Formats: sequence, C-alpha cells, structure tokens
Amino acid sequence: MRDDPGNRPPTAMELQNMLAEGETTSAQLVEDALSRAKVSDDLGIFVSLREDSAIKEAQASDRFRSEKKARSRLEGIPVAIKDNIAIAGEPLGCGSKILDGYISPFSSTAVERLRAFGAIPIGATNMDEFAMGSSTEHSIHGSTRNPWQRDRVPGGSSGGSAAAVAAGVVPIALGSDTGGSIRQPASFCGVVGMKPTYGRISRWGLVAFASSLDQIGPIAHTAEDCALVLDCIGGSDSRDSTCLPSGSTDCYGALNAGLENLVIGLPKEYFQSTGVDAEVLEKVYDAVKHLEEAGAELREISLPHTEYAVSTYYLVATAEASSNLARYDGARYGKRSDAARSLVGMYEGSRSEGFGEEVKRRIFLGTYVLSAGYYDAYYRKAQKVRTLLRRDFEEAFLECDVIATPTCPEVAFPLGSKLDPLAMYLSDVFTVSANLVGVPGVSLPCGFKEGLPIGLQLLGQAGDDAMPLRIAHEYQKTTNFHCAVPPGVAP
Amino acid sequence: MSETEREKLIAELEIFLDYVDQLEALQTDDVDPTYHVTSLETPMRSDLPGQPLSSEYALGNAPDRRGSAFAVPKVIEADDEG
Amino acid sequence: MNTQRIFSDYEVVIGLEVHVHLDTEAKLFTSCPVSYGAEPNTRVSEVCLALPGTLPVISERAVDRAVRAALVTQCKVHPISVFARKHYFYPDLPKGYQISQFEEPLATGGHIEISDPEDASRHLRIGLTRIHIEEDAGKSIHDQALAGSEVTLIDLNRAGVPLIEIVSEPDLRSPEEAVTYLRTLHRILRYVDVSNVDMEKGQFRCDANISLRPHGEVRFGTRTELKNLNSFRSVQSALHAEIIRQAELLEGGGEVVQATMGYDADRDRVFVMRLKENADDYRYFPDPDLIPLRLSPTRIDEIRDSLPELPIERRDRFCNLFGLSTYDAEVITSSRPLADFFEDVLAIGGETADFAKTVSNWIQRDVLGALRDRDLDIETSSLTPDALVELLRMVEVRRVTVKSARDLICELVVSGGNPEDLVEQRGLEAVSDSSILDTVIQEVVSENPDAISSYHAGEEKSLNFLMGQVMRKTKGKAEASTVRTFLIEKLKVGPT
Repeated sequence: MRDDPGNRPPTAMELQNMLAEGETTSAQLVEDALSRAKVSDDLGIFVSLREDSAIKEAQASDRFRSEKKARSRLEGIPVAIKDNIAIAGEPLGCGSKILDGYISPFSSTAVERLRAFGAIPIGATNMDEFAMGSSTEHSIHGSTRNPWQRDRVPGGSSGGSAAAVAAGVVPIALGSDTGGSIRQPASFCGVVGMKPTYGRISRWGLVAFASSLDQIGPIAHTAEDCALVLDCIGGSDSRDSTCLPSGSTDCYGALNAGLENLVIGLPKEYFQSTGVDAEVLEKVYDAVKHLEEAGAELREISLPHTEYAVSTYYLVATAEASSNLARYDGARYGKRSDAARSLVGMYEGSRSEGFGEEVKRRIFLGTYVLSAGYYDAYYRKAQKVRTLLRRDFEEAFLECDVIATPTCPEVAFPLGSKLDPLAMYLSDVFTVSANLVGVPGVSLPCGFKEGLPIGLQLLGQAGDDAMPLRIAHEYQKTTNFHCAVPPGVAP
Repeated sequence: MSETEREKLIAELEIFLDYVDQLEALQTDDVDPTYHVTSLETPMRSDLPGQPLSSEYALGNAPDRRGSAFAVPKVIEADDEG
Repeated sequence: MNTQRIFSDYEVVIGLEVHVHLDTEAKLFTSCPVSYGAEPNTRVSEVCLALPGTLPVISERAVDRAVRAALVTQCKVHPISVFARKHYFYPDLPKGYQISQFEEPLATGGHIEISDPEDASRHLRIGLTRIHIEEDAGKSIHDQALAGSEVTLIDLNRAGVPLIEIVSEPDLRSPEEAVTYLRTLHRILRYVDVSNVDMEKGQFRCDANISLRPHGEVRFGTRTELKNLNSFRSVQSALHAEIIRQAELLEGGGEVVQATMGYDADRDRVFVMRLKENADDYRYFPDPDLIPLRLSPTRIDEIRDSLPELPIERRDRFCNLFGLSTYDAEVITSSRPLADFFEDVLAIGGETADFAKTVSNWIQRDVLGALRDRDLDIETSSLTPDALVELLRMVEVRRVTVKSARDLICELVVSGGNPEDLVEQRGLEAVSDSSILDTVIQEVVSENPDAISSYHAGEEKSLNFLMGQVMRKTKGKAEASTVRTFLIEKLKVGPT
C-alpha cells in the first residue's frame, strides 16, 4: 500500500480487498457511487445513470460473492462508461442531439465482458460530441468541469470518464481514444488513462469516429487497475474484423517485472518543441529522472516526422469520420427534423440540426478530403505520411523499450478559452502519433502546475501493452502524484 | 445549413488546408499508404444464419413507421430499384 | 426506322453489368439470414440497420462463391483485393455508403464464349472487365396504396445480401448477342452453384450500356445506361428501342446525351430517368473496418478443385467417352441434373456407345417432352435412372412395345414406380409370342379377304391396313415391326 487510502478515493484493487474482507458490499459501493454522481452533478460528469439496473446487479454480485463465486478482481466494482460505448437497453447519445433518446439494443463487447466479470456500469459519462474534441465542451449536455479547478476543462473527448475517476465517483471508467481522447483528459485530471494497441480491444459497440484510429481504454487512479480492466475487456472478438486474433493479455501479471535493463527513449522533437509549457517539461523531466534512479536507462531518440503528425491525423480522422457519420440521417433512428417534408429535407434538416459545430466542421473537412480530385493530395498523401510515422517508431523502438513524453504541451486550460479550432487541434500534437501508428500509450500524473495535474506519457511497441503499464506501476510505487485529491472531493 | 454557417466553414476549411499543405514537402512517391496498421489474415464468418432482430428492436428507435416498414418523406425523383 | 438499316449504318456497342445474388444463407457482412418475400424489416440485424457501433465481418461462403464465379469465367483472381466505401445518400442505403470494391476488385480480365445468334456454328468471345463483391441495398416500397401519400416505405431485408457485379467489356454488338450472353452467364452461374439466379426474386439483375458509332470508328459514341431490366425479353426489347432512339437522334443531326434510362415494357418505350451531367462523386476510399481480402494460392486452388465440371468440359467428355454427337451432348449437358441423370443411367445400364445413343434419344424424344408438358425438371420428376434402364431393357427384349414404353415414360415421370410392376398391372406385355400372334394374324387374314387380294395385286397400303387390324386386336401390345414381318411371311404363303 503506497499511501493512506483514507486520504484519497480507493482503487478498484483496494475495494476488492474490502469486499473480500467483508468490510463493505457491492450494493453499498454502488449506492455510494450513485449518490456521489448526483452530488457532483455540477461537474457535469454523467449524462445518465442506470440506478435500478446497477443496484440489482450489485445485489446479484453480493450473492455471487456469498456463494464463493466471485468472478474476478472486478466483481462488484462500480464503473462509469463513456456515452459512446453501448450498453444494451441504455441510451447511447454520444453527446449529440441527433442520437438524443436513442436506446441501443445491444451491448459493446467491452461492456459485455466487464459485466461478465462482475463489474457494474452505473451510468454514461459526458463527452465531446461523437468524440470530436479535446475539452468536453462540445456536448449538448453542456461542459464537464475539471474537478481540480472548476473553471477549467477536464480535457476531451473522454472528459466525463476522467472526471468521474478524479472526483472519486467510481474507481474505474471506460473512455475512447482516437487522437488522445483518453490520455489527454487523464493528464488534465490527474488520473491514469490508457489507449491500448490498436485492435487490442474490440470496437463492436463503440460508436465509430475514425475506424482505423479508435480504441476503447481504461481510466483509473493506478496503472494496476488499468491493467486489470485491460486484461478483462481485451482480446479477440469475431464481431470486429480489425480486432487482433490473440486472446486476452496478462498485463496484470507483468506489472512487477521491474525496470532493470529497460531503456526509455526521449524523442527530442517532443522535448525541444517550442510550444511546451516550461513547468510541464520540467516535471516530465523529473519523472523520467526518477525512473532512471529506479534502474532504467534514458536515451535520446528521434521521431523525425513529428511535426507532420497533426496534419496527418486530422486528414485521416476527418475523412473517416465524415464517412462513419453518414448513417445519421433520421431515417431509422435518432432525431428526425420536424422540418422534414421532403427526403432531401430529412437529410439536410436532421443533420444540420442534429450535429454541433465541431462535428459539422469535421464532416465538411472530411468530405472535402475524400472528394474526387483531392483524394490523392490529401487523404492518400496523409496515409503515406502515416507510413513514415510508423517507420519512425519502428526505428525508435530498435533503440529503446518504451518512449516517454509529456502527454500534453500544457495543463488544463480555462473553459471557453480555445475558440480557434486549429489551435485546439495543435494541442493534440503529442498524442495523435500513437493512434496513427497503432501503439499503446499510457498517461499518468507526474506533477502539478499551480494545482493542475501534469501528465507523463509512456508509449510502448505495438502489441506490447504490458510495458508502459509496468513502468507506470513502478513509478507509482515510489511516488504519490496519483494519490492527490482534488479540492472538495471526500474519500 | 445557413449561408453564414457555410461561409464560416469554408473559411475554416481554407485555414486548415493551408496548414496541412506542409505535407507536400515530404517525398512519398515510393511510400505505400497505411490504410490499416494491423496486417491480419482476413477474418471470415461461417455461413450459419443467426437470429434476426425482433421488430421491437429493429423499429424501436424509428422516428416514423407504417407497419413494419420505416417511413421517410417521399422520394421525389424516379428512383433506381437496383 | 428500319433496324436493318441502322445496323448497316452504325455499329452498336453494348456492355452489360449484371448483379447476382450469391447463394448463401446469411448476408455478406452479418450473419443475418437472407430470405425473400418476408415481412419488411424482419430479416435485419444491427449491422443491417447500421446502428451506431456496428461493424462488418465477411462471409467465407460468399467469398468462395465469388471466387467460383471468377474461376468459371477465366478471370484472374487477385490474391489481394480491397473493400471500398461508395458514398451516396438514399434511404435504402442505411450506412450512407455501400461496401463494394473499387480500385482493387476480386477479379479482372475473364471471358465467356457464346454462340453467335446469327450462326450457331460460330462462337463469340465476350470479354469480362471485372468481377467484384459488394452488398445489396434495401428496397423502397412503392405501394399503390401509397400513391399520393407523403411517405416512401423502406424495407431493409435485402440490405446486406451478398452480390457480385459482373462487368462485361463493350464487346456485344446486338440485342440478340446481349441476351445470348445473359442466358449463357445465367446458366453458368447456376451450374456451379454460385447463385440460384432466380430473376423473379431479383437474384440476377442487368443494366446495359449502349452506344452507336459509325462503322470503322474506333472511338466510342456517347452511351446511355438502361436500368431495371428484369427479364431477358425486356433486355432485348429495351435495347432495340434505345438503338432506334439513338439512331433517329443521330440521323436528325442531334447528339446522344449521357443519361440513365428506364424501360416501360407495357408501352415498349425507353424514357430518361436521370441526366448524367457530371459523374457522381462516390468518394471511394478503402473501408477501414475491413482489412484487405487475402486469398492464398492454396485457397484458390481448393475452390477451383471444388468446382463441378463445367458444361463445356462435360459436353466434350460425353462426346469422347460415349461417342455422342456434339448436338446430343449439348442437350444432355444443358443442365447439371440432367447430365447427372444421364451418367447414372449409363452407370447402371452399361457405358457403351450404343446404349448412350439410345438413352440420349429416349431422353430427348420422350423424357424432355414429358417433363416440359408437366412443368417438371429432371430433379423434381419421379423418373429414376433405374426405372429408365429397366424400361429400355424391356424394350430391347421386346417385352414391351416401343409405343407402350413411350406412354410409360410419362407415367414414370409423374408418379414414378417400377416399369416391371406397371407393365404387369396394365397388362402391357408385348405380344411377341408367335403362336398368339399367329392366331391373331390368322384371324385378320380370314376376316379381310379383299385386303389380301389387293395386297397381292401390289397395293402396299393394304398391308398397312392389315397391320392396323392386327394392332387393334392386340391392343397395341404387338411390336409393329414384328407384326409386319409375320404378316408378310404369312401373306407369302399365298391365298389359301
């Protein structure tokens, strides 16, 4: 035990121990979570709660436990699910008007597996509409606020999930990451967030934004909890053609392998970038030095095409998004415009009224990027640069086992302060490469600037999800940034 | 979409395209595009038919229906059946 | 306008695109069942409805059928082909895009041999540009009851059904060639179980591209596209009508405008559905949810080995092995069940050239006729190979007359049974016992002295008359040739 658990919200592991010792019940945990969810309503974390179902499932979990049939270390643990990950019978809104009121008839594979292992989803968390955004300000439900400072953004698009964990409502949450949407809010909210290797977790039931980039991932206080969740929900799924065929991982089992002989690569393009806040850089350097003291070797490496990553990302992501969102037309589900008197009216009205500004912007861009005459110069070109980025990483990993960078160039910015879309996009510079290339990435808290969390990002080789988690776990054994509690959050 | 909205989007599009033009500097003639980061064997399904959705689920979210069909505003032009 | 003149003034250039439903139980990218005629939206899954969070996974059998179609038409099957999204907005297209193949299709560069409609002894080779896999869209229901109403109804049962699109080179030069090509393609696909190609169920749909150009001109004229041609007849009529329309336009100094045309069968008229001023921009790009289709050479070989023998190969084999004429072999191999039946008969009755010829004759002359009259196929009829062999044996040993046997074929086709039993039940045993025959002949001779006299006077006709009398008395159970022989013998004896 690293720190006094009474000081901060408990991890899933700690709760599991308490449940096992009989110190609490799942019904109690779920009720607590639900009441905290309501109390923190001003943070705008949840868009819906599934109270009755959660309580029933908690009771069932307690029964399992009493019959000695606990299914996993997640048995009876309350979790929060981002509003773009399907739960059968529950609303799946994606923060959008066009899906307002839509009830999904099926569950995502990730949620199915969580529930099969005994975890209990208590509700859906707020997000940027259709996962497009880095601040969770673009949602019809309004903005989510950063628990550390309520006039700041929690990051996005999984801002609600990150805040849910940071505010101590639930110990673990699921988010989705297309260009940094788990890692960046985790960094802003002082929690651990992970984007696994592309294909590690089935995308069945994840509302698609950019299909070749999207991944579901865990958010928690510790790398240990993240490993638990990853092992539970990951693995082959015959419903997703892009899902890796291997079985589930054992990241949890690999957590304590230590740092001896590991080489941590520091890409000079990230550390020498002019747009990074000086204090952020300082704290991240401190963090990697700490890892060096613990036995790892630091080495400077190069990822030469870094400056092209944001362009590449936004060309690919908007193109795929414009296609994936073509199905939202008000014909078979979702909101149909009242003004729909003609077929054309139905399409234009429903989509114009149903999509927010950022979504429209990206669909517009994406449609352009794919159109005849521009396809080669934009989309195809971007996919070629993507290959160059892949090569950068492949070569870098010949010299190191893991790559360390700041997660973001800055700490959480004030609500409403980033009005220029391009400026917003540019702040994704450190996270987008991992999605383009498909490698796993973990963000963990490594310091504070003026009371706002700073995130350290660890990137592993494709397929090596265990490595960044192991290093994060090692770091968390001898530091306590992840134990800090936002003001006003009771244990 | 209103005229002002459209104009705004076009202006933003231009700014964006200006930025991404930086990619032109890169020599990529001999580079293959990465459409998929994984190099999997094509996963395939067997031909066993499963259970279709019940009408309740299939039409449960429908904004408008007639019987078990989805109803949409009339298609104006003569359409292709194909 | 005179079509003959048109053909002498212009070269007609036709290319055909055929969409074929593959023979599978489940859809292309989801295990939702395929069915026809079901209540709207009762054969749909989450994937068919394009619900948020759904993903496609391809059917192995659909790929297998598609590869079959490519192999059987001599196409090059590409070891890697890519699925692409084709975008357009239409209510019967739930995702707002169709999953198809674009730059890298499954197969390219094949051909089909058809017989020249003008000269059956000549063959024409029609090139195939490509074959690719794609999913079908749903249906807009245009109900009569809804005419004048504000809504169109959408049924997505058909959305996602596996299709191949077979695109021919513009090698066809007349509506008759076009129909011959379609019939040949139809037969081949059925033969190798790629599809049931039931046109009434929309499993075989044809669009035609047609243009005219002066003879000798190498550039193509502007073409129009004819859609929704749902029978061979309408293909022929529509093409004819369009040829005339284009020719009249050109004669009048006008220009053909690129357009999508429909055909009104009732009025035998083509009409413009949509002018195609600009090509539609479908914004094709490789589907990120589907990795490229990789077919190993082993896999392709396995599929090739699993192909049933093709019609032409079987025909040639029948000629070589059984000494059948090309014509006979073509008739017998025109359907696979018929060819199978033929081989089964020979397997039981002996694989000799004589027997083969006999069987072939009986099939063509009697079996096929009986099937046609009762609207049956060989596989739905009750005639078994054993029964036919039995029957032919009985004819050979003269246990039953040819005529009786021919009648029995009809019965066997409809209700089956054992020829031996039937002959006994009906008392159809041929009268070939010479003593019985002798008695009957004796009777006839004594009853018809005038006929005898005229026969001896040189009237051949009287013999036929006498034969008729014998046949009547024996109720047709005497073999005609036997009766003739006996009669002549008898009459030689001279008036008694």
